[in-house]
Amino acid sequence: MTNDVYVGGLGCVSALGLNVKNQLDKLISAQSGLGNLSLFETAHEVVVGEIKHSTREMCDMLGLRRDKEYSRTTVIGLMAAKEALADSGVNTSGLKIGLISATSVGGMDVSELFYKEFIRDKNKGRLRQLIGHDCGASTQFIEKQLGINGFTTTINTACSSANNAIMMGTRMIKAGLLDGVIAGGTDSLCRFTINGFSSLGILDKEVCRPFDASRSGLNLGEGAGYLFLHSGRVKAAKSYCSVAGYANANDAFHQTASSSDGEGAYLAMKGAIEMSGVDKNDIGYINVHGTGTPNNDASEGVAMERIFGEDIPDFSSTKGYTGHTLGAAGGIESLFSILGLYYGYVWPNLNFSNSILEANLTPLTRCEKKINMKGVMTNSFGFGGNCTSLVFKSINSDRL
Amino acid sequence: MIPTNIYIESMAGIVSSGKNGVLTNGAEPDYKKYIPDAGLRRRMSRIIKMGVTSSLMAIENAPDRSIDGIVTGTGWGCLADTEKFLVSIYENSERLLNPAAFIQSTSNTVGAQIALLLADKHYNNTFVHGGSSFECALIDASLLLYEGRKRVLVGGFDELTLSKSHLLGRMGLWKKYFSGEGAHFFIAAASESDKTIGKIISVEILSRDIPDSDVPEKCKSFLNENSLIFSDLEMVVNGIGSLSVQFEGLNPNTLNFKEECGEYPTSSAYALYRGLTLFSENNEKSYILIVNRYLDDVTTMILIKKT
Repeated sequence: MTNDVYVGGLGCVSALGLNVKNQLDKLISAQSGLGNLSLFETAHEVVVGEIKHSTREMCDMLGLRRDKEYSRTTVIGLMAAKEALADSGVNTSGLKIGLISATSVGGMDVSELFYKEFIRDKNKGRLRQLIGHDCGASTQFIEKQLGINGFTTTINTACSSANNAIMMGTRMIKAGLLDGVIAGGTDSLCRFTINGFSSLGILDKEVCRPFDASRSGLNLGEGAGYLFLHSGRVKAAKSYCSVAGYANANDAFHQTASSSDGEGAYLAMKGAIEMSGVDKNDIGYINVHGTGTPNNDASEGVAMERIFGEDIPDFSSTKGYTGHTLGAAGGIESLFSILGLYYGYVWPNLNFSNSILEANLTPLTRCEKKINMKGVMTNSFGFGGNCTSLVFKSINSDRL
Repeated sequence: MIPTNIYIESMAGIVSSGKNGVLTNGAEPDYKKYIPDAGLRRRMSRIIKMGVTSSLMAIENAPDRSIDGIVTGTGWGCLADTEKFLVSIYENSERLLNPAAFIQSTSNTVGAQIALLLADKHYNNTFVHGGSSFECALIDASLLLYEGRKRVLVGGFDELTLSKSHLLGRMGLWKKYFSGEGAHFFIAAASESDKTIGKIISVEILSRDIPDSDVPEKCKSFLNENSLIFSDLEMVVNGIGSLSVQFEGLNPNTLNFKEECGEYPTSSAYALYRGLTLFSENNEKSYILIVNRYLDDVTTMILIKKT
């Protein structure tokens, strides 16, 4: 088929490290990146998935000017997007290459500093700190740094944002509007989200326990994950897989809570699997959204049972490794799913002991070698009922 | 250039504008009529009310009210709730915060609330890319129709809050720009009907570094790619203040739409609405070009055709 869309490059920064190799090593050795918050002071007792480098250190690694103040979201986004493009080995000249980035907090880490001054005196606060506030600002900076010449945009559907960015990029290539696109998401830790999720009472003070009966909330994380997607006419150094299925559906139930029958999640997973052409029994692994909140995991679990019945594929939430990276989650977790598919692994769901009461499901608890998977799926769900699932198909699966 | 096949069947909007960051022109509808639940209405910030109501007005006017997708674009997002929550973090030293503003602070809240009110479980997406947020939403809607969907609700909205107005004032922008805000929604259909208001045939987003003096030439190339020349245009609906004289030299009539709606990231949604209202039996020519730029962001073009 001429309009298949392939994954030819990966780039990732998270609490597990600053590149894809770090992610792979930690995933295989089941080492969590969760720990105490050191980036800024907060009144809350929190466990987070923090990147173990200051923004300044990462700016230096990227050769960014020291006299400018960059949002952490922008810096980690650039680092991961740059790695994805380099990994693809694609010479972009003469090609229509786009950038579709997702973020939910944008430059909030720097805007917060502005507001601290501004609320005391409306004529105070350095206006330059607001330049990076808009979600689109991080994308435009990455676009310029990487010399992207094609369609560039930013998506924010809260925690499902990056899956929607990957879906949009895939659709644009299929429609012939782009030859290749860097698609994924970036979000950094900030007071805004720590306080936001805390006010909702869904932050766990201990390490998160997705899909466990004792789960009591999520841990926030930060990071960026991008895929380099391309059409068949572009030759990339590696061919990880194809983006075979995708679906975006809305739960239309509540602004923040998920429905008890998991309707949005069900529609997204069902749509993505049907489109992929991969039989549901051939889905070798699902990277579930699995935030560790009682509501999400119950709803997602019920939706999985509605689709798969008794034969639930191997699945895990990798939030126990990275925390919930919000707008970046879909990018990072798509990448984890693809690493599993390509290198032949399924990832463990850290901190699991007992199954949830709402569904009869047991996630993987150990990293296992699993070769010859035909397809893998990843879920990302967000505030506003936004649910998006993606299915990645092995390039070799047709020959198996 | 991105070719589109979007047939607009219905549209509605809310707009306000004024000088020096103070919005004196424009009227808001009776929100009670569209959001009868008083509790829900009270919880919604102004931008959510504006966005949701303009979408419901577009649906109310539609010959066929069934939709199979919702796509929104916003440059500023849900600013009032974002600021409200941020201020509460500092004022309450991070303790006992009300989550309501946090919940409604994400930019996809308007799209999500529309889905909730309509119980619409279809595709739902939100673009937050500054001055091309609405154009990106149009491109997504166009792709959805190309992929087989029949009718997509697409809109753009931004609210000028007091703080935003004050901050843009501190940046010196009100010396140069007329201030404004608006929310406009459209029912975009895949095929023409006797109710079609007009067709969007092409969208273009140019890079950020194009000087004003090059824009008319870029418009000419865009028209040429669509097999048109300037004299085929009934009107240029122009949002770049410095360009009006140059366009007049190129023959078509020029409407400087920002004198009506002011400057905000998704003002091109107003321009599309305004452009479509110009189509009538009296038109000598069938095409209108919309050209826009928000502050120093990207330059965008939307080409529409009378049907």
